[in-house]
Amino acid sequence: MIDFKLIYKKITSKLSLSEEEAFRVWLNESDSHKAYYLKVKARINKEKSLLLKQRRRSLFVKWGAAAFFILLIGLSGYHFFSSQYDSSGTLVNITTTNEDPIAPFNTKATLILGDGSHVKLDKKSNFKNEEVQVQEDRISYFKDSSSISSETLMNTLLVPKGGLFKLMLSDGTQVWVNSASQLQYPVRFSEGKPRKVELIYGEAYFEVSPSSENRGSHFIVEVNGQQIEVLGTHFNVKAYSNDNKQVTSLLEGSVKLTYKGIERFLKPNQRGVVFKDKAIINIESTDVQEDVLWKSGVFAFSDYTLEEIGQVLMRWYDAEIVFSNNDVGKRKFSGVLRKNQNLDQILNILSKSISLKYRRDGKHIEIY
Amino acid sequence: MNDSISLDGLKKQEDIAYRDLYAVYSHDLVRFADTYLYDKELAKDIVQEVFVHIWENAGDISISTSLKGYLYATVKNRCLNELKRIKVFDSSGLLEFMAKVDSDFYEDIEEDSFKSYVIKSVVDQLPKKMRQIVRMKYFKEYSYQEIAEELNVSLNTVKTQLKRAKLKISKKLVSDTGMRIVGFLALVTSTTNYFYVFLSPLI
Repeated sequence: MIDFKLIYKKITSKLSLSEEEAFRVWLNESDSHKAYYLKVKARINKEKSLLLKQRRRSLFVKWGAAAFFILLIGLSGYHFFSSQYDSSGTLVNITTTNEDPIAPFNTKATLILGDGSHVKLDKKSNFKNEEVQVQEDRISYFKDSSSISSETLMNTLLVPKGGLFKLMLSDGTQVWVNSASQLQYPVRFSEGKPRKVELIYGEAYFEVSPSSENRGSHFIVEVNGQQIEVLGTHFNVKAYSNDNKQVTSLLEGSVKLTYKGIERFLKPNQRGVVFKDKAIINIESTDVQEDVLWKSGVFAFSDYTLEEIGQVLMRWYDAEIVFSNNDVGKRKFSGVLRKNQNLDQILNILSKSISLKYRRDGKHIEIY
Repeated sequence: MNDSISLDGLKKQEDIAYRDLYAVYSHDLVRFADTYLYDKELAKDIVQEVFVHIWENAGDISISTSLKGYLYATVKNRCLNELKRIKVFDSSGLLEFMAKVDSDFYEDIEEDSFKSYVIKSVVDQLPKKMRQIVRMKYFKEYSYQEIAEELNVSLNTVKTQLKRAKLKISKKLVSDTGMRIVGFLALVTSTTNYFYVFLSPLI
């Protein structure tokens, strides 16, 4: 239970320690709580920035300009969709195009077993062997598989664009693997050694089973020359090959980042950012909740540029998004959008919110 | 708006009366609900439900005050119910205050003088022009249009001033000095809110 006042205060100023505590408890109770918080945050920030802009403008132009912005306020702020309510309501009206809508990909993945064989997975897959069981979009490795082999067999999970898979490793660690990602891990972890997995590319959220339950073994995620070492914690790693940075977001516990000989520790609500061509680790203190909303079926954009949003959308939809010039790509948007809509609906909401235009030619989309 | 004609028509389930009611109020009611829910689609759903409810039960609904007051109170209660599902409460009255500024929210009775007292004291600290507009909107239940006409300024000026005021007042209300008073009052006012939550399924 929380008073709305605390949510508002969290966004506009600073909570006291006890308030922060109460806020965290509420926030972590459910994804629907997080979704509401983010919607409030996006709206308030938008209203504030619009008022600021308006004030600046009104120094030069008279009320004609102000009227224009009022119109903007009216048009924007209405693009927030609920993820927690199954509303049967109609969606924002869709521009009629003669073309087929671009729907999200179907959830599919490929599991590459230790012997090199490929198992195709989809929503209806049912697969089982001595070590692993697949049901729908969830894979679980058995804690005590009967086949005790001295060599560690590696498995690889390949999630294509538009996919999302949940995985439970043999030590009980849970991993959500986002679209366009590849994760490699041993079927069983060898006792007494660090538990190592490798995110070859893409994004994954980890809820690591504590070292205390695994004879003190640390858990290590390797990402492109970066090492993330943990004792038992919740964190998200994003490392797409077309991004020039790799971001680790920590929700709970503590992690150690190692990159090109540099070591840094993260505290909860911090992001560690590594740039591919530089030997530095930047630490940002921020609210990292939005970094993991992808696993609850929404896109959460908090002050994202359109270029960044385009990257995210291209991982979910089979389409190519380009910008007619750099200025358009630098424009920003905040909001929460449901992932189960087709791309045209998403673009429509974006174009209404920040008054942009787009042209679609088959799977090629130009924003201008 | 001539409430009584509309209401009589509704009781006889006349399409036209119903359409009029919808045309006049639905837009602002959605905006009103949206300030609670931060979700336009859900806000639309809630308002739809309320109108359907009125259509189906027009004969049985007894409205002691005005139809407008009834509509806003019903939508508000349904919104509070939705928020209850995600464990959000408005004990401090901040949401209600924001909703009041953003829409043509209308109440028949000044139901909660304690909350108003806190807000009044914050309003007193606003710049003169802004203060005047907020008072008219919040305490005297003027519509945007009425304020613009009365003060002989444009509708946009009124809206902008109110949005700025909303930001200022809300910030003050959650700031530490504001909190102490509101925190004390929350004990008193939360009882009112629970009352709504319990009542609303009946409406």
